[in-house]
Amino acid sequence: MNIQVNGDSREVCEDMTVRGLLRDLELHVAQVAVEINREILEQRDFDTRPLRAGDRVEIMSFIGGGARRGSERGLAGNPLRAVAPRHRRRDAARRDGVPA
Amino acid sequence: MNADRLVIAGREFRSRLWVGTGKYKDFAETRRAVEASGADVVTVAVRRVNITDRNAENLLDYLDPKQYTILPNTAGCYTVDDAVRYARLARAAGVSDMVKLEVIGDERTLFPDTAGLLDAATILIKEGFVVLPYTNDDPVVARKLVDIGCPAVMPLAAPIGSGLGIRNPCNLQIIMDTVKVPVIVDAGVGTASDAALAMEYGADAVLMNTAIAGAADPIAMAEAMKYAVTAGRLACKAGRIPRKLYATASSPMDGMA
Repeated sequence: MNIQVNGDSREVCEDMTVRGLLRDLELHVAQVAVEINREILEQRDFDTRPLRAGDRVEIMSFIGGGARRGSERGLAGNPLRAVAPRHRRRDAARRDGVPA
Repeated sequence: MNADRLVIAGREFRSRLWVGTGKYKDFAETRRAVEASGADVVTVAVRRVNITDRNAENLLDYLDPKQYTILPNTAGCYTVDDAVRYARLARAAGVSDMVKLEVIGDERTLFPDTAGLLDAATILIKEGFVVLPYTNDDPVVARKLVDIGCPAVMPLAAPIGSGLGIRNPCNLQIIMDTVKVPVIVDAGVGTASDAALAMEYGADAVLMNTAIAGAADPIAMAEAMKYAVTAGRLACKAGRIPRKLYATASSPMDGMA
């Protein structure tokens, strides 16, 4: 049967459980959350919850984060040059989307 | 400084510098920077697991959840529904029931949507989460967040990743005067003096990511931030002298020939 895993379509066997899917994917990460059709599954239900055709499965974990990865351009570099003359700030703001 | 522990919702933290784990070159650099910073709380984001590359490494292989408090955030969430969803996912993944709650209101500034933040915090607190809200430097919103049960507030110093330093020191100080819970200055720090200043104003902790990860030498900057936060905290507790317009001699006039 066909299910969606993290946005990609995937063929799995009929009696597949969530635990089985994680094993198939060879995910060696302990801290995962699984959501099926927008419903979060408790870890203790991984072994018992059967997957059904058409299920949309999301397997989530943790990545580096503090802030969102954004434009790295802008006011970096020499702190004495950090505050550019007004006209240059406006130009830079238009170009980079950096607040003037 | 054993007695000077930060306590939030009954949990004790050794370090008053908290760090994000984004934007590093690789996980090894992330770990070295976190070690150099002395932080015992690290923030992480919740994202899809890479299911195509089976050899992909995991951040938590490098930062042991037994050694660090892993604080998931809801970065990238622009709606109450998304923020609540990501917080629940984070808790389901089993590292913590604490969440650094972000409801972003604007893509260009990444300023928080404080109305959405209050709504999301209300929902999550009801579900038993320990909600640490990333908020604007607005004392009224900070007070409301505490009123609904947030055990700390995390006002920004400046836009995330901007490195602009503390843009509104007066409001931050009013927040510190207004709320009785710990205030963690989050986002916008550019260099060590910004962090020291935040602590001198009376912040209970500082959280940063880009200021360290984006520095030319992240490991050295992490160490600089550790000392800055410690120095700022000590100076705050020591009590600075008042500012005066004119000089006061430090050396006595008595005994001059």
